[in-house]
Amino acid sequence: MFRKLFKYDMRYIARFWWILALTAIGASFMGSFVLRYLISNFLNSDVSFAIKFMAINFLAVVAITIIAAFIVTQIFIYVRYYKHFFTDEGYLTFTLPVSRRDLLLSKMVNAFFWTVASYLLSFLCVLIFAIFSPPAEIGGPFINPIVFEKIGNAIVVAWKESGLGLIIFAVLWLATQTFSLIYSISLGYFCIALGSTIAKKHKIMLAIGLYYAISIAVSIVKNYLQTLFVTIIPDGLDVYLEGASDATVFFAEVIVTAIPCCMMAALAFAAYSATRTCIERKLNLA
Amino acid sequence: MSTPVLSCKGLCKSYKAGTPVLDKLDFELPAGKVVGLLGPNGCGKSTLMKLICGILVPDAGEITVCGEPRSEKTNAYISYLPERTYFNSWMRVDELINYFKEFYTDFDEVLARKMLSDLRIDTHSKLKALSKGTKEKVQLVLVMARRAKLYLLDEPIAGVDPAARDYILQTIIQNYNPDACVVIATHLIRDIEPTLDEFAFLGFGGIVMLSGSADEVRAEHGKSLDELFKEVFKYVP
Amino acid sequence: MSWDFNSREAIFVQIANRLRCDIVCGKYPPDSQIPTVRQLAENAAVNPNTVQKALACLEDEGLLCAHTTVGRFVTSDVKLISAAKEKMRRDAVHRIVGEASALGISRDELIKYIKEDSDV
Repeated sequence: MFRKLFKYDMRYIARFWWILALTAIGASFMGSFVLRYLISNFLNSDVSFAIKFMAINFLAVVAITIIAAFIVTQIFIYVRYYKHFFTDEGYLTFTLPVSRRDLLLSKMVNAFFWTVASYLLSFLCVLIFAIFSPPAEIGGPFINPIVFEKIGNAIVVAWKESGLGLIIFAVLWLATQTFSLIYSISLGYFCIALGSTIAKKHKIMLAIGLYYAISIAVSIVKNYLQTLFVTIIPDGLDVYLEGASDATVFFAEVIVTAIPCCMMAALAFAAYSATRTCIERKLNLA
Repeated sequence: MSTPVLSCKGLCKSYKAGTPVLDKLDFELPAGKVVGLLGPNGCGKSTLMKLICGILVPDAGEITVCGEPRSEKTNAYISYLPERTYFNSWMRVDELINYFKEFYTDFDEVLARKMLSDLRIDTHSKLKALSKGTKEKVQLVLVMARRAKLYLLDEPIAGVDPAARDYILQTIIQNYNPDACVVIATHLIRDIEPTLDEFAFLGFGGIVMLSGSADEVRAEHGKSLDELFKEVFKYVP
Repeated sequence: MSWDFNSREAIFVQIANRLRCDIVCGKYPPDSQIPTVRQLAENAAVNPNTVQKALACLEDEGLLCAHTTVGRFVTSDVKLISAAKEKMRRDAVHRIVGEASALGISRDELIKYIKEDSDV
């Protein structure tokens, strides 16, 4: 049953996402050539100011398009969640022979997938700019190989320096980002759920208000803890580790990096559990 | 005696503290009956149905469907028609049929398509383009096209034209299944009375004021169910 | 199209009356098969259990016989049918006489009115 739920949730976004993606990619291609032209002719007085101005505006539009693609996806994710659970559609949703746990999980995985896809899309657009916009004078005639060279070099250097450490820190970084994403999606879902459960009117306003309130509270606590673990303790550790072996120092560095990761994991777990409780126990549709 | 299709014990539910909509409700429904849940607006008919479907969580009490405690599994036995339309706006009728087919193994697609064509509804049309009455008809068709054990119909004929009303009542009779129980909550008693086996008058607080065989009402009370309802729930100016 | 039911008598009684009328008037001749419960229920827009009760009544009276797998048939006992018809006729007349006397019409006056009445 979960797979069926998931299929429909995915389809809801997929229906239009491919249009967003193509638009963003197309805009990036166009933008990168415009940028190339602009860079080549920036100091060229033969080209009128009006054309340069239009080029800059065009680039601004491209940037907005790429950002909008991301935002629109997010909006659709949350709107789907809200409509499916907390409006009249809920009458169909909650009478399906599926557990509320599966209903929420499907939404969670769906949101995660499309958010990551949106990030990758943005990254792809930036990459397109990076590859195609440097003009011929700086790099090759069309695709600029210097970008790839530079990235390759950076990776090789980092690998030579830390080897295994590179992998560990990369994994930790990935884990932290994953938990962070799960946390922010769960928080959004939780606030919408709480807002709809508590309030009869202005549910969305309450949800947005709750989101900011909780985010700020969590930020304050997180900053406090991070200052503790990332600044004070490492400073203390530096003193403690003076003269310690490379392995011990490395181990300490891993621990220090792992702590924010664990904090994030705890936050993600807390937010998701709170959402689950709200939906599984407290939800009563009017 | 076979397991009752539905059994409720000590069911309590209130929206506001102090005013219970349902107060320790106890009853059982056997298979093969069409039961009318009749009562004034706000007496708890819809609340009771929502509790059975799991849309609402009871404050106290147990609900058992076909011998199993209420859970998402028992939702597979129940076909629920709420008072409001519960469609999303982006699907077409065809896609909605597929949706039902995927989630409900007892969904009869052939019957659904036949009923839709009887009611002259185009299955290619988008749901959001349909009128309110047509949406209600689509919803009813999808609910009745399931071979469920328990049908919960909340005001099935209130929002449709008289011709559709006749068609709907006919469908309820045609799909009569001695293994299933149909519960109809309505205040349009005169229309529904001939299709009922049994009835229950639900008063405020969910108290069953009167119940029994719809047929014997005339023998016992000398009046039709409609007239009896008016007497029991008389508004005194 | 549903049959018209009044609100004084139980629905199954009214169905039984209508079917009894159909039998004695020859719509369902002796030994013929009557429609199934389901068909009658759909026709009358009535709960099948109610139709079942009505048919059970007629079975008790002997007007219908149930052949379990095949269906219900009108009895072949022609005498029983005519006796039922006779009873219905007398009941109908009794109702007419009752209505008439409620209006203060005497028996003789009633006979006079009947003779004068050219309609029907």
